[in-house]
Amino acid sequence: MKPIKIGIGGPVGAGKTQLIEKITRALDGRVETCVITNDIYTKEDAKILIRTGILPADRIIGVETGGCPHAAIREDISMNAETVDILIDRHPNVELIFIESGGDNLAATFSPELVDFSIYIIDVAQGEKIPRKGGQGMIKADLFIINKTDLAPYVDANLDIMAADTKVFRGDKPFYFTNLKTNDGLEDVVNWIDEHVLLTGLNELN
Amino acid sequence: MDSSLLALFQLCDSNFPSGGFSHSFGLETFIQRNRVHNRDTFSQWLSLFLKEQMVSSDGLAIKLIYQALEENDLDEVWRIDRLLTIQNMSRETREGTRFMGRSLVKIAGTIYDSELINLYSKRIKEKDSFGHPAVLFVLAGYHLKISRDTTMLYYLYSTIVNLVQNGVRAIPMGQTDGQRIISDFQPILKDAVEAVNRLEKTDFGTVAPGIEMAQMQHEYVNVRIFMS
Repeated sequence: MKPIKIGIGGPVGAGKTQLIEKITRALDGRVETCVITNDIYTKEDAKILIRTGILPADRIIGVETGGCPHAAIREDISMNAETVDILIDRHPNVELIFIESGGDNLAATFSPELVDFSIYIIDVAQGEKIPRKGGQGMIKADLFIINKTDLAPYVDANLDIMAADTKVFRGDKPFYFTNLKTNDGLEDVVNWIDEHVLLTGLNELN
Repeated sequence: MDSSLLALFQLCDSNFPSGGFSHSFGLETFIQRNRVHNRDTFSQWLSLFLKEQMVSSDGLAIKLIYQALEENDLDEVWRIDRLLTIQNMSRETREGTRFMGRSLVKIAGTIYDSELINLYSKRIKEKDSFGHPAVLFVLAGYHLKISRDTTMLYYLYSTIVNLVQNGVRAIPMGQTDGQRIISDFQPILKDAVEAVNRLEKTDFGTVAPGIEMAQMQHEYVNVRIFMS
């Protein structure tokens, strides 16, 4: 069976790499996972994942995007799509592939030809107004995450306002607050992946 | 106007998703060393890349494959395809053309109704061929009954346009300078086609060492925005 692909988008420093690191750790032993990282300038994110994460190096590939991170996940997915094929070739039983976009602006959305689901992550310290800006990345994502809630008091961000603004743009589509440093909210994210992506529990219902 | 030419234009269009924006083919090494930093120095590199690598590798491959197709010698087509990849000294450039070739073949297979392209796609899937943009391009040109020299000229043109876009982004250069370079290269591209036609089979794959070394050294540049 073809693996499910989840795109992870969000501005630089929001916590994309850490989110993948935490999710892969939570799914370890249960779901066979690989990761593609799209750094803007280097292969730093791939290196960090190899160093801190649970996945072995041959399951993580960094792809440089010529300074066009948004193009690599939407207008011209060639390099990412070929890398998906390489990972499948290398690990024929892979079930889940994360594609981490290079940190880009709020407009970055994923091509449906590249991913099956997308998650968009921002952090509180980037400003309370980020959800209010209505970026397409946040609006179109299947799941929206607001990370680093612990920093809210230091940057005068009101989480209630961020939640209300998110609902204006996303309607009933899900979003969670997280503090990935302490794993706050991580369970919600993993449960969402289980229920909506992996469809865990479907067999039991039947 | 010939509608088959339009069909080939689609493949030349910088909008065609080939992944070319991720590959500098050694240009980034020269940028990192500050050897390429403006329009003049970029033009010098581009001219060398065209004359000292494109002509004797991709250009000559197009000529040889087109001839082989006319003689219905498919074994020779696949042999040239193989040589084109394995003669390339740089791992990143080899992987780059392979990635781009595979990507182009996937889309070309859906827009052109060509048995040859389908066969090439099958060979790539079964790992009998590597995949290369120049090979896909000549298969498309031959399928569309575009002449050999025109096919070659358009391929070289699309390569230049892609690299100019990457140069504008990576150096950076002004957009007007970028377009001036493309315009200035028109006679140079025509000369390049003539140069290919003067070459023999034995010239295939002779590349200026400096160009090739920079492509190999790209693996170790500090800041990378390109895969090659």
